[in-house]
Amino acid sequence: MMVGTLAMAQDPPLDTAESAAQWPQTVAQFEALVEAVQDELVHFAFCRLRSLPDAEDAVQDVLVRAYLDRARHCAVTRVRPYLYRMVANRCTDMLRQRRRLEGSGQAADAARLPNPPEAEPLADRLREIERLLGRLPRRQAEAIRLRIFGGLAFQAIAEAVGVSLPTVKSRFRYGVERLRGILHKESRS
Amino acid sequence: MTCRSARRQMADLFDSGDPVQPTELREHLAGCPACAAELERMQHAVAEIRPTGRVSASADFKERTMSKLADELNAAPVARRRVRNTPLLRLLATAAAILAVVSALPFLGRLGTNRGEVALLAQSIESLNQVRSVHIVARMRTPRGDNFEAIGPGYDFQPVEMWKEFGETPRWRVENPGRVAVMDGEKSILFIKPDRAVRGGRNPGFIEWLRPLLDPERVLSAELTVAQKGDSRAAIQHDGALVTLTSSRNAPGEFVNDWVHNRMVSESDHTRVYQFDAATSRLTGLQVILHDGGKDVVVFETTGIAYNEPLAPELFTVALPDGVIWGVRPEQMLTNRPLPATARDAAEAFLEGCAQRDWDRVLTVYPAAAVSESIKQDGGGLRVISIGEPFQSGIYSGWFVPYEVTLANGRDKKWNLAVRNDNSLHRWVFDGGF
Repeated sequence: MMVGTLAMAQDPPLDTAESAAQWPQTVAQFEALVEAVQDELVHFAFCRLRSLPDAEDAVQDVLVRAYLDRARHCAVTRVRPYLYRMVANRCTDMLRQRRRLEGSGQAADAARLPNPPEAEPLADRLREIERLLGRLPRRQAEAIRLRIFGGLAFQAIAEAVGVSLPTVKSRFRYGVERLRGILHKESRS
Repeated sequence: MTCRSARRQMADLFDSGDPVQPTELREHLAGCPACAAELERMQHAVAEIRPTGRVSASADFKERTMSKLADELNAAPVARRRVRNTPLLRLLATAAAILAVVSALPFLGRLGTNRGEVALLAQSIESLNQVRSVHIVARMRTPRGDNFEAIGPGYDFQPVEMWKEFGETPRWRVENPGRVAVMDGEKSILFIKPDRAVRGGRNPGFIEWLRPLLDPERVLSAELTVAQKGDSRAAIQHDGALVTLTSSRNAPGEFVNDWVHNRMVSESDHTRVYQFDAATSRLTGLQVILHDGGKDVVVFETTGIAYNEPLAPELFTVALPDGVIWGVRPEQMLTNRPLPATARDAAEAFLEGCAQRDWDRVLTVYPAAAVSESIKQDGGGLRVISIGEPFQSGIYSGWFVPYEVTLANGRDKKWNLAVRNDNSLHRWVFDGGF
């Protein structure tokens, strides 16, 4: 916030495509990458975690780790799918941690910061969506999440999870077929 | 195409990245009601799991992420120092630092003829690793009581003082007559005298362009990076005991008028003249020369830089007056009134609210727990003469709204209000200009 007579300077707009095209090797490249991918990655993590503070924590952890490990990843040519995989893994870890806390009787929900009120209806809907996806085999659910929540093309999903393009398409199709069956069964009961 | 192969390919219709249109599949679907019904069922199932909205990262997400990265990077040298105990390792580390800077030489134009001096300065990266504290005394041509960014050739010099203690949890303080910003190792506070305060993290935006001076070991590499990107023209000169690095840059962004241009350091045409001690490679001085209307005016200059002074712990605290008014985030602001939908509406809510002393209306755009007494005194009962068309200028992502008012004390004021809605809620908030 700027509270003086003139507004605080902001960074100039960044080239999204370019900044996400290579693994950041300098702080300036890292900053451009954060700018380019923050919204989509936070949305993707939110779909899984249903908590905006947790989603931001997950994405922040991933981005900082991405820079600290930059030497190891310098050969990665498509950064975005790789980041999605890292965020997906981080979300899985956080959900496991939540389950452990709940299992030990600690109120994980109470410990979390609340969502902004505007995000609550979406969080409620995602709770229902995740209930359905949770009944699918893990890999099929993963392909569906990356496609529907993350908006990644099948080719990018294949790169993100390290399998062939036909395998990703099969996982998506079988996942949707199974989902259909679940929805059909639930509508009858 | 058979029904079996058509169903196998149906996933293609849910893809976004495949430039090849599955024409054969579409033709099959057009003539096969069973497969068309199958596709419809798949589409229905996908619609059941499609989120109905999107969330975005908070407005300060990038800042917090950069702050977290800075913490991680600050932690790393502490760990490295422990292993740099042998002369050989220390020599290797210094050589690597020098190499990193010298490798940038081909990009640096005139610097290319001064490799020796640049290599000398590169040693500052290593020598400053030994620095425990820095204390900078400076002066700046800025409106008294304003932020750390506003400048103008017509203003008198105001004092600016900065302290930083390095170590495992770095702490700092920056002060001018109107503001005190303190970071105690975990969190920061900006005190805007006499009655307002804002909380921040370890790496807040409070101190604006002055931030690099708190990390003197990064000044050189930061300037070289700017030159490497072509955003500045750098030159270096070795004169006896001093090495001088001169870095000139033009204001970034497009300016529709002269409102922002040359009124803030970050949005001005200026030259920075850094001086380093040739023997210790330490930063010993900085002047910022504004190029405004054909005139060169010094708008900032250090008058003293001291290293390794003992710093009192109290420096990294700030005494706040009782009843201080805290800044709030957009999601914490009042929503009991209709919210402005445009930049002009936001300016109107602020100015008309002041005019009617309707402070709840002001708080629909003013990001604080209450309206400060200074705004109540200056703005309460003002008369709005005009509110103009909002405009954008420079690199500021908000809007400026021209206004003309008569204040309660009878003085006419013609200025621009800054408002912005680049937060996750896209809520319009007052950002200065009153």
